[in-house]
Amino acid sequence: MTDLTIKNINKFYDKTQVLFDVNLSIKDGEFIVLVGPSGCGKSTLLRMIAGLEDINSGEISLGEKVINKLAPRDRDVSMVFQNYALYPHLSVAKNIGFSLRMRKVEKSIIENKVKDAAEMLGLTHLLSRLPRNLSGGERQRVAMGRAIVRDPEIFLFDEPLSNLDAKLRVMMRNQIKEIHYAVKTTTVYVTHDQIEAMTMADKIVVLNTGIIEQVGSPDDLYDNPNNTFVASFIGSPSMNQLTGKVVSEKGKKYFQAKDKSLFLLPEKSNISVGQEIVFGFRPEHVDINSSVSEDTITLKVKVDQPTGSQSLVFANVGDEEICLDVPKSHLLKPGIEFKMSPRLEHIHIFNSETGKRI
Amino acid sequence: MNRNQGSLLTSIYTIIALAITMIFFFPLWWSFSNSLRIPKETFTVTGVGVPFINFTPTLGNWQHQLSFPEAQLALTNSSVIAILSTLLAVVVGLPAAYALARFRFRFPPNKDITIWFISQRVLPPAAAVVPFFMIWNMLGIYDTKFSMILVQTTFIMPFVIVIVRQTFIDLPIELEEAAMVDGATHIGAFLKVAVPLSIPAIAAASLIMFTFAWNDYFFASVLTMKNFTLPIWAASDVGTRGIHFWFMAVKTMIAIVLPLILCLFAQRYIVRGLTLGAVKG
Repeated sequence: MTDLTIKNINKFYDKTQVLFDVNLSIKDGEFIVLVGPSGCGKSTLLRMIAGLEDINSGEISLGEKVINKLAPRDRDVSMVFQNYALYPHLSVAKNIGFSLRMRKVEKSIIENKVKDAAEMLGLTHLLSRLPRNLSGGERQRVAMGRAIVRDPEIFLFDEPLSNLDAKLRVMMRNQIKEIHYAVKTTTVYVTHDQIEAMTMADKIVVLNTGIIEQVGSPDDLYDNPNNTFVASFIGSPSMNQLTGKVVSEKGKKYFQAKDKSLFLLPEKSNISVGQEIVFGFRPEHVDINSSVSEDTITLKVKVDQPTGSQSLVFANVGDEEICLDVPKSHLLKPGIEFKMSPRLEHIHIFNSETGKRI
Repeated sequence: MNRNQGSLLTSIYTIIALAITMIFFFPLWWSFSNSLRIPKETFTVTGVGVPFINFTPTLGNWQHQLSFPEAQLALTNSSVIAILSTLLAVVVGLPAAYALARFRFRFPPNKDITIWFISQRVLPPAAAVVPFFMIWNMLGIYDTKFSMILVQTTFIMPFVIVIVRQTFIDLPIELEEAAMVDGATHIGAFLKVAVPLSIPAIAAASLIMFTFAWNDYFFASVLTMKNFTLPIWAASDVGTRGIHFWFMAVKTMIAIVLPLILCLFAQRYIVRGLTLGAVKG
C-alpha cells in the first residue's frame, strides 16, 4: 500500500523540453487520468513511471523508495499499451501468463491465475487462440488480463481505448472501472479524450505543453476551471469564450463583447470597469427566450446539430462563434432569431492576458 | 477486359514462365542426366536425355566418385564450414542487428556502422584474401576448417545484420517494452519476443548465408590446401584427356543436395521472409 510521488520532473528530447517541473502525488488506490492534447507529454510521463523513459531531473518514488533508476521489471507496475502489444507468437493464455513466467512463478499457480483473470474478463473460451484471431475488443481484454494477472502496485494505461469503436469504448470504460472497483489498484490512465477522463477518473490531471494546468476531481475541473485552457479542454462541446471588456451601466457591471452586445456579470469585487476579460459560459448553462431575465441578447441561429433529446445550436456574437446546448422543444432552426442569456451562477471570468481565472 | 481474355492472358504468362524456367533448369537437368550415363554416352545421347528412354542409366559414376575419401572430406568440410559459419553469423549478427535497430549510437552513428557491415560484403574478396593468408599462416591456422569458418562468417554476416535489422525496426517496439514491464530484462525481451517474431527473416538470411558459404570457391581456393571444400573438389576433375563431364556431373549433383534440402525445408519461411517488412502485420 503505497503512494506514488512525482517530484520536479523535467524531460528533454535532445534539446526540446517536453515536461517542465511536473509535481504530482497519487494516493494509493486512486484512479488518475492524465489528459491533454497530443504532444502534451502525458504519455512521456506515464512511460517515465513505467521506467521506459529516462528521467532528466526530478524524482519518482513509490512510497519511500525512489524508483528513478529501477529497470521496468523491478518497479512492480503493469502497463496496457495503446496498440495492446500482445505477443503475436503466443496464445492468449501464454500472453496473460507471460509476466508470471518471467518471474518464475510455479506452473500450477500461473494456470490458476490466468484462469481467474480470463474469467474476470470473459476470455475463458479464447485462451488457446492466437492474438491475430481475436477481434479488437478481445485483444484489448487480453491486454487488460496481462496487466491484472500480476497484481501490481500500479496499473498504467496508455490510451487503451483509442483503437476501439465508439460502442465498445463505452463498454470497456465500464469494465475498466469495474476492475478498478474490484482490485483497488492505483491506476494512472492516459487519454486525449476528455470524456474518458471525466467518466473514469477520481482525479484528472490536465497537461498542456509539458505543464500541469490543473489537478482536480472531474466535477472540480468542470465547475471551476483554473484557466481558459482547462475550460475549453474539459467539457464537450467546450465552453464558450468571448473576449471583450467590462463596462458599467445603471450601476450594474456588464461584459461587453466585441460587437457591443452586453452580458450581465455576477457581482464580483475583483473586476474593475474597463478591464479586458474572457467571458466564459458552458453551452448548457443558458436560458433561451426566457421571460424571467431582462438582460438577454438576441442571436440568429447559424447551424443546428440535433443530438436526440437536445440540439446544439451555433450562432455568432460578433465574429466569435458560440455553441448552445438547448432542448429540442425550442425549435431553433437556421435563420430563426432567439433571445439568450447565460445563467449568472455559471459564468466564468478569466484574465484575457494570462488566461487565469478571476 | 472480360474473364476469358484474362484467363487466356494468364495461360500465356504461365507458358512463357515455364519456358524460361526450363531454359534455366536445363543445365541442372543435363548434369543429372549425364551423371547416370557411361562416359562415352556424354555427347551421343539424343533427345533431352531421359533415363530409360534415351539411354540406360547406371550408378557407376556415382559409385566411383563416392568411393574416394576426397568426396567425403570435401562434403564434410563444406558442411561443417557452411553450417557453423552460418550459425556463428546468426549468433553474432542478431544482437548487432538488434542494437542497430533499437539503440542510437552517437559515434560512429548507426548509419555508418550499418554501411561498414555492408562494406564487408561489397569489399572485393581479392583484396582480403592475401592478408587472410598471411594472418592465418602467422597464427598457424592456415588450411583448417576453423580459419575457413572465420573467413566465411566475416563475409556472410552482413546479410543477417542488414535483413534482420530491418525486421527489428518494423517490429512494434511496444512488444519489447511490454515484455520489460512484464518482468523481462532487455536481453530477455530480445530473446523471448524480438527474435521469435523475426524467425522468417532469420531463416531467409540464414539460407542466403549458408548458400554463399557453401558456394564459395575463391577463398577456399587460396586459403585451403588439403582441407578443400566441395566447389574446389567439384572443379578439380580436369584430366589430361580434358574435362570428365560424367564425374563433374556427379559432383555438381552432390554439391546441390544439401542446399536443396535446406531450401525445401525453409521454403515457407523464405517466402514470408521476403515479404516481411513490405506489408506490416
